[in-house]
Amino acid sequence: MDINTVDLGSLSLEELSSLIIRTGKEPSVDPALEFQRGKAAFMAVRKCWEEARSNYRSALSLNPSFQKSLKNLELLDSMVLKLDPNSP
Amino acid sequence: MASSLQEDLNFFGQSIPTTEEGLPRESFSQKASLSWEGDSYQLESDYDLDEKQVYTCLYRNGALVLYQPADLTLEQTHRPLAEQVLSVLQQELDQLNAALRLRSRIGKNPQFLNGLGLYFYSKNLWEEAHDLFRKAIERKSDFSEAYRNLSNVFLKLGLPEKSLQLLEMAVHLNPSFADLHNALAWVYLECGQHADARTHLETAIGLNSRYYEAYLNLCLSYLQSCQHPDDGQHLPAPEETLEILRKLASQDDELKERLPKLTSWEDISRQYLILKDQQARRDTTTIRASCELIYIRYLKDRENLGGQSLKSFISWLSEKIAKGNNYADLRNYLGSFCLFWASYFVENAKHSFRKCVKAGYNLEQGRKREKQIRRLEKSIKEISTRLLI
Repeated sequence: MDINTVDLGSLSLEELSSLIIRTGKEPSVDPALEFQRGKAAFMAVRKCWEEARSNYRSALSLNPSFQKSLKNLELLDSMVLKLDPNSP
Repeated sequence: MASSLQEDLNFFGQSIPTTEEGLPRESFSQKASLSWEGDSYQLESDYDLDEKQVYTCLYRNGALVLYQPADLTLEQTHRPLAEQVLSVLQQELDQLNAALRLRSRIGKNPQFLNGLGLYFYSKNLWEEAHDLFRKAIERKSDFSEAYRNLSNVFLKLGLPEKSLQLLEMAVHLNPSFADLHNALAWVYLECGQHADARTHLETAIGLNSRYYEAYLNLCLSYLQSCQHPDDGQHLPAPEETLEILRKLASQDDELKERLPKLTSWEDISRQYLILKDQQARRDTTTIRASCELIYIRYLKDRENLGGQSLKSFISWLSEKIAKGNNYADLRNYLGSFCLFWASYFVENAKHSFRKCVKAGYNLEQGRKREKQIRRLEKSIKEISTRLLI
């Protein structure tokens, strides 16, 4: 998988994580590669949020009165809203 | 001259090896040790050829306290055995080291004290667990979970009277906590004090009419109190136990179907064991103990919690949930750990864009991203401390 050509949005969190780790190990000083690596890390942050949201929602579907997940979901949504909707 | 043992074996005309020296018994054994505040801990991992599984032994001051089959992730099981053993040892060592270190870092926060205590409890380190649960209760006198945990430590240590004393005080301080009444009743049952046990189980059910475990304990109490006839005849099903199972059946369709067939004491007893076993399988104490440790490590010792360790833990927890532990509290942990994981990617992004800006590459975009990262860092840090676990 080439970080310069791959569609970062189509990768899973696991794949993004592996890509970031692998490219971090390469002794490269190529700024273009670093830029792509930064973009991949941004994409991974977004995927982490999606995973978190999905798990909180699953918790609530298992137990609709589970206050902890309800509050955490609210916290997460308010954080994402506060940040630029286009970032990361 | 042959030994008497060899003579006995040759008597049957066959040569049977008296030891298993002839068999290839490859050992992958790995050992590690650490000392902390005067106590020493040794960890040993190996592959058990008979059980066909990797295991870990934990010794405290030279005494074996735990033999634990390793709970490997799917990814780990694909590695060669020697690597599996080594990775299990490293993982256990990392966790134990972190837990011991955290004792001096968590301050007086009762949730952290209880959570860390739960980790030690899950490793049979009673002394360490006792100390932390006791401190948690000192800081929060209505902390029902910590009372339950400490009472379990006393039971494990064979001190039911101490457990009783603690829970009686806890119930006195928090009379409206159903789980404390149930925990106290369980200790009364252990001591054979059925009247007291029933009083508290009925109170627990009065406070929470869907309290499955309390109903089961009440059922056990009535089963244990029955006098069996001396002539060996079957005892009919005690009416009280049938009434309890009828109530449980309102939450359990399978039980509803079986109920008409339960006519004798033996039937009820068998049914009780099935339900108790099902309930025990739903017990996630060990998983929660590991989750608590990760949570506390992230908040209080993040510099020693690598992104790779967190990632491995997330994989492990996801697999646990997929394999039948799909419970709201575990989903809540997993969601929060995914948010924690995001902070490691933010660091990666920060590092990369800083390099770009330094090199003068795509300056405008790079600077814009750096600004976004600062906001992200701040937000994730803030949310991490406010998440409810």
